[in-house]
Amino acid sequence: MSARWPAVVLLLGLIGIHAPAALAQSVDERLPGRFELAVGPAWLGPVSYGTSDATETAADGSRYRLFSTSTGLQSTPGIEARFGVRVTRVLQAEAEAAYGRPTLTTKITGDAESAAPVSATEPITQLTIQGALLAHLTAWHIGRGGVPFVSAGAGYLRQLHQARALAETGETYHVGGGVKYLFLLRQASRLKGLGVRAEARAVVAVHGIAIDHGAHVSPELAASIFLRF
Amino acid sequence: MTASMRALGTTLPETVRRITSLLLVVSFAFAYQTPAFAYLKFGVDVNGRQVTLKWNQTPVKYYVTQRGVPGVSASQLQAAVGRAFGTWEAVPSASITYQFAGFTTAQPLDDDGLSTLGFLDRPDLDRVLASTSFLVDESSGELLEADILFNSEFPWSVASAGETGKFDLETIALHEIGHLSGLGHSAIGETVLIAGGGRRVIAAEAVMFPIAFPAGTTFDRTLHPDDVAGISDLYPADGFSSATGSLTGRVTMNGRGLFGAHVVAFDPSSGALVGNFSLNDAGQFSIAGLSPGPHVVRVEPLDDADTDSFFSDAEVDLDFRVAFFDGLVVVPRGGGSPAIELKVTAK
Repeated sequence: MSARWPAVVLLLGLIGIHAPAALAQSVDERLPGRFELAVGPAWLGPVSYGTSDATETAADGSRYRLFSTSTGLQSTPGIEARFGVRVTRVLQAEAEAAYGRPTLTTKITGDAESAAPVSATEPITQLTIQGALLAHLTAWHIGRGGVPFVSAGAGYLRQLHQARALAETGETYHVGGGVKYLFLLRQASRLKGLGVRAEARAVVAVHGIAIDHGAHVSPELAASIFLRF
Repeated sequence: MTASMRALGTTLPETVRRITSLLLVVSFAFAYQTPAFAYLKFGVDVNGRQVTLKWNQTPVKYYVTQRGVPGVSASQLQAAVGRAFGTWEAVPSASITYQFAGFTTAQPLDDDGLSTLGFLDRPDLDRVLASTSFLVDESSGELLEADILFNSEFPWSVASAGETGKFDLETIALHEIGHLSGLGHSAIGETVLIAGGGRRVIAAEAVMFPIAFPAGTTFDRTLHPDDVAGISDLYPADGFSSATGSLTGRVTMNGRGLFGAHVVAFDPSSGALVGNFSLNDAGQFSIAGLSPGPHVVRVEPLDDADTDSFFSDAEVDLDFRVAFFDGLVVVPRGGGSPAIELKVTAK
């Protein structure tokens, strides 16, 4: 197994050396134009905020559990919009905004006086604004129009409780990857191309409505139609 | 009212009344118990309006009797109650302050205008560790005097780690000073019935719970969120009202409001439990001093202590099941949540 590593490193080195010349043509052909505008639906995955017990001080000094809770955000559909600017042949800087209405749910169980278990819920309005850097992996193109990419970004998280009673803010980070597929190419026009983009991400949200005020990871899937111009 | 205080040692003015609140070893139905008043904050009825009892002038000056008991000298008594006063005074969100005014030969319960703490022999109160009595101006709700007696019939300790078989003076003083400050009893605690009548506490999360932990324990020397919310609501420090919020609503059964239902708000992010009661026949309740954010709300009948430890001359609704509100209630910063209705069912 270890004997194969030098070969892999050598292969990556060759790709790195030869990529610029190869990519110059590939990027222009597959992702023409300098700007990209994308809009589409997203699936914001569930987030677990962990458990928290309601406890009292017992007569021996230990903790007496009155009831238990586990809290999390349920998955929800959302919408995302992105604007990108190609800054090098492979790199694109992006600004993006995402909106969703997930439900915050606290499951209450194990009541010491046998109260019926309850799932207490509350709708949340969530907005994220991020900046991201996207790298097109043109060397690994899929068919004639498919370009895989990887991206990473960071930004601002704002979560509003029901009736806008309270706003919680935090930070959001992501790493992910996906593929863009250009199905309309118009080199002579101001609109250079039209395509679809699909992406999967791991999102880290810090603070916000997290009951432990910590960092929590969740999955996210997005699909969009993009315009190149 | 200041002028009338000079006459307290002889005849009480018509507007002044003495109120007593007791801390029990185990709860017991006292035929002679002087009624306590509404939970969280004491109140009196002034011309049909409920007025909160509180000190209008701070620091609250207090005296300590020169008498000790076996194991506790007068100076140790003063030091222990001083630590307990300091614990209340250290609540950053509350503004009340206290001042030790000196030792006295006066006795607790003397109507002398002096707030006095000390030991008294009260063999008749065989289940009462300590009690606080107030002189109250019923026309304004102003507290004029508050005396605390520690029943010398019980064994007392001021050892830093407590002593087996003896009640920790600082712990009990902390509870009584809550009363002295104007707080009523909290119901955040669980009890079990014991043979021969009465109740034994198995857990509590409020210093102001009316039944004490067993002798030898010291873990109630620190305040809990319910105590902090209560004293801060009564004597708010600058910024308290804008930094916290309240939760309001009704407790109903088949559309009828319930009186005396114990409602507790639980903050999953901090673990804090803060409670109050529905305080009228419409079942309305309000819990103030809550941290902003979503809360779980639980309602239970007042069945872990004698109801007259909380309410005087009132019939408390007890015949309903413990229940949770089916939504998370968001407490805003510096405001109140939309009113909720907690619907319960009969046992």
